[in-house]
Amino acid sequence: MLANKPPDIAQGVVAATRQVLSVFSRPVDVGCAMGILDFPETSHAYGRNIANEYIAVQIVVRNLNKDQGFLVHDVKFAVNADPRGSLGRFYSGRDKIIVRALSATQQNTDPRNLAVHTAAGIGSLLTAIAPLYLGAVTDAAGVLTTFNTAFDKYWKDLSFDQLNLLNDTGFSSASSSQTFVPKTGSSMFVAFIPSRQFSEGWWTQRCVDQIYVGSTDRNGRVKALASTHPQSPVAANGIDVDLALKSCTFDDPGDAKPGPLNPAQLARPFKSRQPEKVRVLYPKDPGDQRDADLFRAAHAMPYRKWSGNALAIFRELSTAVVAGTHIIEQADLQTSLSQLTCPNTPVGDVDLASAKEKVTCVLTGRNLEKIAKVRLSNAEDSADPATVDGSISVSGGDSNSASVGFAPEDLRKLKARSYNVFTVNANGIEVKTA
Amino acid sequence: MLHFDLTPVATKYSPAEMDLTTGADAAHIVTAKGYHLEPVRKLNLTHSSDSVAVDIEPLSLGNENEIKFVLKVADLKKFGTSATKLTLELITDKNIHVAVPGDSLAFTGKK
Repeated sequence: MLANKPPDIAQGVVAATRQVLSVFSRPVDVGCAMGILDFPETSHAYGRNIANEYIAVQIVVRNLNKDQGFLVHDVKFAVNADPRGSLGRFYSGRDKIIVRALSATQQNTDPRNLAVHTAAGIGSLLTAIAPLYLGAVTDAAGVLTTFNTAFDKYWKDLSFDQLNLLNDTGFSSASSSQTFVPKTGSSMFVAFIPSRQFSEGWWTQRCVDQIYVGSTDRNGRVKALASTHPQSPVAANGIDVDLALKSCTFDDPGDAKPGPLNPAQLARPFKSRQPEKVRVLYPKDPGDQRDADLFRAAHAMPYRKWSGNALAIFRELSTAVVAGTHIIEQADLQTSLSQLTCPNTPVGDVDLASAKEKVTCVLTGRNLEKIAKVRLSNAEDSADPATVDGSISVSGGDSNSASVGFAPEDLRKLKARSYNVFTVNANGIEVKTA
Repeated sequence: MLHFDLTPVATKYSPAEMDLTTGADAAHIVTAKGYHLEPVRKLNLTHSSDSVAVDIEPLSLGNENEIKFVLKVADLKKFGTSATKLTLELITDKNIHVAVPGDSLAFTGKK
């Protein structure tokens, strides 16, 4: 397409594309891994309401950069749900702030809380009416109160713990709770993906629980068994997405037969297998009935009912991507001076006697290129206005090492024995060194 | 924190040589240059062979970098005729004796 454009426009497009790609290029020092929590895990860890709505995906981000941290901006999740093989788009998970709203409702709607609150309500009611009926009602109220106390004590309400765990581990892009991966460190968080959108996925259906055991030839004779065949994907890998998909589809070329001319016949096999009606969409050309498309109502399989195979296939079809940027922590931008080594006399004083044009001292620290000068100030008398400045020289691009030169005649004018060392930046701000 | 030695240091004397054959009343002004010279109160001349010392008051209180003394030929007679090289020593107001090291700080007199 660019070939038809003028050269300057084509070059501009190429340059702009390269620029965009460079901005979004994958950093070589950041890696991530994901693990999908099944329904019981999610339910116990975060609560039943959340488990009913979301698939919790644990993400671990590693930052191998030793100089810069990594700020996670977003977590995106894609599922290649199309059985024909087209790739799924990436979408962001639900922000923790939204998921937290569901967690808060668990204090009322969680099965445990419903049971405990109902029992407590009945107990209160019995206690209230006991004076009217006395006798057995009073006894029942007493028993129920005791039971409720034990019920509440030993069947613990975990909703607060679950809410805390969500706050600790749930991912949020909000600026108030961003996820930061420290230098040469790692961070774990959990992204929440709405599960309802996948409940009709082909991998959720019962067909995926069929296990491949071998193949037959066209005469029906077994020619390969999975347990003995060296090419057996079952024996080799445990789960095979292609085979699972094959067991869920009925368009195997080996079974290809002439299509029925009557749409009613076409739908019959489905009718015999599924109770729902099969909808037939006829082609626009009434003369070509072979191209009629068949549809049936989807069988929704909620996440809590997914089988092990369904979870394993979903894992294979899923991809998580972490977006973020390297950042330099504020502390790393600040200058620090860890050591100042000057030519000394045997007793440790700065050697002024042998100084010629300059007394040169070696500085070690961090971000020394941001230091404009080093200032010496009387440590014994803070009111002494006399100071001596030394000029900084950073060489070789190493900002952790520098030299500072003092004029000997300036140092010889100093009146005190001890002087504090200050760094002075380009704005003239002094910072006392340790 | 950096530490500095505040001991007086004289690095240069002038004149380094002087002719002492002139009259006994003759006097020479010797200027010592260096740093931290403010507390210097005396100049002590010694000669190792006869252990004779002569204290000379400064011409005036020195400033940081310079101090002047008046050397009279009569004072130097105490060293006899054999001494041609005298060692100088600065004495501060706290009676700290600071030897002048090195050849450049040696005082040479001719008789």
